[in-house]
Amino acid sequence: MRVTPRLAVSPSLGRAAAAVLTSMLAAWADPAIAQAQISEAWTRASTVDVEARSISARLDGMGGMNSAVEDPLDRINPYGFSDNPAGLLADQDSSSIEESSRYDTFHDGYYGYPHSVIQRRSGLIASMRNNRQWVLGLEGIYGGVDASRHDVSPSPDNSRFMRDFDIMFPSGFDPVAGDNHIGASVIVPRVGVTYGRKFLKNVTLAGRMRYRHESESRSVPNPYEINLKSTELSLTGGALANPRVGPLGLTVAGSAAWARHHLRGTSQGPFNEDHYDWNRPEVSYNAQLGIRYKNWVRGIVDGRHRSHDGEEIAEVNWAAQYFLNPLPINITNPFESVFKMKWSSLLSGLRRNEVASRWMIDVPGTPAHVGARFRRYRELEWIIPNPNVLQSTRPLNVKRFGTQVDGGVSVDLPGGRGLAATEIQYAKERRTDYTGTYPEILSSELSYHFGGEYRVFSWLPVRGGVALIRRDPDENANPTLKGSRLSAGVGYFWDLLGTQIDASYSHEHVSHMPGDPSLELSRSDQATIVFRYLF
Amino acid sequence: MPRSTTVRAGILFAVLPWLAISCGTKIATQPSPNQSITSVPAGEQYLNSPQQEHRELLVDGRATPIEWNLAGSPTYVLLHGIGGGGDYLAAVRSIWSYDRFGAPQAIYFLLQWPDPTFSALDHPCINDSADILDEQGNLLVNCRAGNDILVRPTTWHLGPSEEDQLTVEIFSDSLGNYPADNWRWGLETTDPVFPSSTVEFTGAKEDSRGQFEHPAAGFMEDRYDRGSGPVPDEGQRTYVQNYTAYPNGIVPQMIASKGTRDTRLNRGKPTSYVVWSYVAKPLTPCDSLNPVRIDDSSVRDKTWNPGDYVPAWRDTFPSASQFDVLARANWAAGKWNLEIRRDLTTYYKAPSDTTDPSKWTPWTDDVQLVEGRHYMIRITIYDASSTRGSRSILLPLYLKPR
Repeated sequence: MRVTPRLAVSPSLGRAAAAVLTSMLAAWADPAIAQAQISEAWTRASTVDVEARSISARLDGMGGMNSAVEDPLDRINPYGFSDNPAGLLADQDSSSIEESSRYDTFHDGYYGYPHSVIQRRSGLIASMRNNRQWVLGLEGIYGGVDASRHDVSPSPDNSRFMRDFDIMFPSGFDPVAGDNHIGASVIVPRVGVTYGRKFLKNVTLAGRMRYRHESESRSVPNPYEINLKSTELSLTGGALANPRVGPLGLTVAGSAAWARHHLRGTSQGPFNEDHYDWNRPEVSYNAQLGIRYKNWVRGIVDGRHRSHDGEEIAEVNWAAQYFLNPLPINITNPFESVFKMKWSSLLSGLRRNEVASRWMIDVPGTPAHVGARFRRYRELEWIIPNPNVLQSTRPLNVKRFGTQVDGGVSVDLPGGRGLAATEIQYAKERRTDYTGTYPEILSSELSYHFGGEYRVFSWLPVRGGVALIRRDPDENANPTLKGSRLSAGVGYFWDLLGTQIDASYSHEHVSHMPGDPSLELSRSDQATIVFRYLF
Repeated sequence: MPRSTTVRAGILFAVLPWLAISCGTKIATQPSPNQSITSVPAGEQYLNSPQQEHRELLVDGRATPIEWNLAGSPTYVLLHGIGGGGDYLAAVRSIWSYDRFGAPQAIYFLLQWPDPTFSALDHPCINDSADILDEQGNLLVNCRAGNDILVRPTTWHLGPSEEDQLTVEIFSDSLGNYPADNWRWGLETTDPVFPSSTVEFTGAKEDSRGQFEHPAAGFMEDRYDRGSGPVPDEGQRTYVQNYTAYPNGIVPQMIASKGTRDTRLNRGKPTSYVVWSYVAKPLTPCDSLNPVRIDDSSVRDKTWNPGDYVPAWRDTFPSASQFDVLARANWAAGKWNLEIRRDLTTYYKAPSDTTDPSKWTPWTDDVQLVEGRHYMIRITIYDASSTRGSRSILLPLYLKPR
């Protein structure tokens, strides 16, 4: 994206304050994030992405480009690509405040069962840089997910939603053989602070602290009502150096993080007070090698690992009247019939290794840009409930092996009037189930994207795009689903506030093919607005 | 040659990731609830109660502290759902007893589990159309005029409801090998078969056996499993079918009644789900009164109405090896208490030699239990079903020696 030259003009303090105020108002008027864990579990098998770290309304408006276009909110560097805090200082030259808000809806129906997910999120990210010497980053994100799903097990689609549900779900207390309509509302506030400083000449060290809280209100037709809360405090340290080898400008970076993650399930009623404390401290580290050659080749190679081993401790306290207490009511000594115990209810673990890379080549002498992105991961996840106690969580023991490849070309229009781009994206994942509950499942998605941006005026770019989608949730089950997504967007530079405003809207419609017994029909809408202020 | 600081930094960077990935929990920090059942020894006569009184453990479904405190804290056994059933915890306690001379006597179990509903009727015969009186009390069915609607097959059908059941399987060694003793308790089919008192029912004869040894104890169906499924032990079971099947329906055979000199129906057994064989009478076209309604003071119309039922089983006293396992359950406020007793060694006693143990022969269709040995036990409960239930894993059972 070409930043409008006027952005470089330093605004007055009043304008800056007005911009911040406007962004904050927009943020609270248009709620929303969710990252992983509870909200991720409820949005599985949907198009809603609760883990999206940066949001670019510009790329969304052009049909969802991942690789053919580089955007200030999606840069090829250790911060933009790998979330390494040491990369924040060099991510851009000036200080910035960005406010992004997104609204997602997803409605899907197959085999007669409807699923829906709604996400609202809003985030404010500020980066203050001082002469390329230090940077202070602040982020605050608030979001929420509302999900209405069906637990159909067994089901012809191998329980697409429930098979990877990796948070507490004590369905065994009152099992339902057929359909089970479940839902939840999850709210997710998150805050973070990053500080990076340059040492020596080419070395940047940075540290980051993030805190996230999720609270869930669940609606499940189960006599054992449980609601979850999770808190995560992560500490990350990163380092970055910029050696130069001949014509190559290199960036060598690495970061490591430790996160204390605690998931608490609470079931409380007149006759019971139960707590399930699931601690799964996570460790992650990654390393990046960035390459820049003569300003027309940019690339980054990234290796990541993250893992955790966790245990859930249950503390149950049941009065004699409680339906799960095996002890009869003892009138003469009521305390004798209280069932109060503490036990280890499960062990869990995760191992994930990932290699990723992204490249962008500005073809010399032409207005063309060629981009590519690649990602391959291997993930082992297990939840092994203690067979001797009431099971609060579904057993899970899977290996996921996935690949994502994107490649595309964009061409600048003459006179800086915009660009046209096309891209192909392919992703597949093979899921191997070691519990034997489900067969091996291979899911994939292939999409062709066409989009562009045209500046009607220098301050008013309009965008549009279309994506043709071929989605296959289970290659061994039903025929492929086909559909399309239409996107539109607009940008505007608000001179008064010195703020760039980008907005986008996209609608997706995917349906089954003739002969598909699932009769699947899926539609989703996404609206995004981003305010960006540089100073 | 690298500098020493570089080497040290290199070692640090190599070790840090390993330290990092080794954090977290890989083994359980909290112990599981104990999953083995220890049967503790106790005198058959309760000399060790606080009151030091003499009496046997009463198999009546009422778990009193005097009887069971000796067994210690219960073992909480997880029962996994089978056939669509739920997961439940059951509390299990056990003791084995010896007589005043130290000879091993019997093993006792106390099982307690939650069940919100009391389900007794097992596929009852339901009356679809016989209505003796109309709303004004006018006679609609005149059997003397030849109306035999009460004994027509089209009048009745078998209902879908089933009784609460429980099975205990005791495998013959510590590895869980077959053969296994298999005891089935059914709320309608085995539980009410307790001895009739000759004091209260002077006509009681064959159904009074054991009235002084175990006055409140019913029975469990005793079965034997060599690995191909349980088969009944030798002898008469506690229940027989109480209807005759026809191509176009069924007809109940017997209904609850009184003995010739009894003052109470069914010799005191609950009329709502028991037809006691010894005092039952055949259902005839002129049996216009429904014994279930007769025994229910809350209803005014005592005659047959559509929706009324007759239990599909008649209860009777067991014989031979079916007489071995005593059991009685009590349901209150959503919880079952079941007490079980069986002699450690079960014998065939010839009628002529019931008092001379040297002439008794151990039954070959029972797993005989010996103190000090380890066995495996499995418990299955069925909540108003014969397929939808909850089952434990094989649990160690240890008869702790004296």
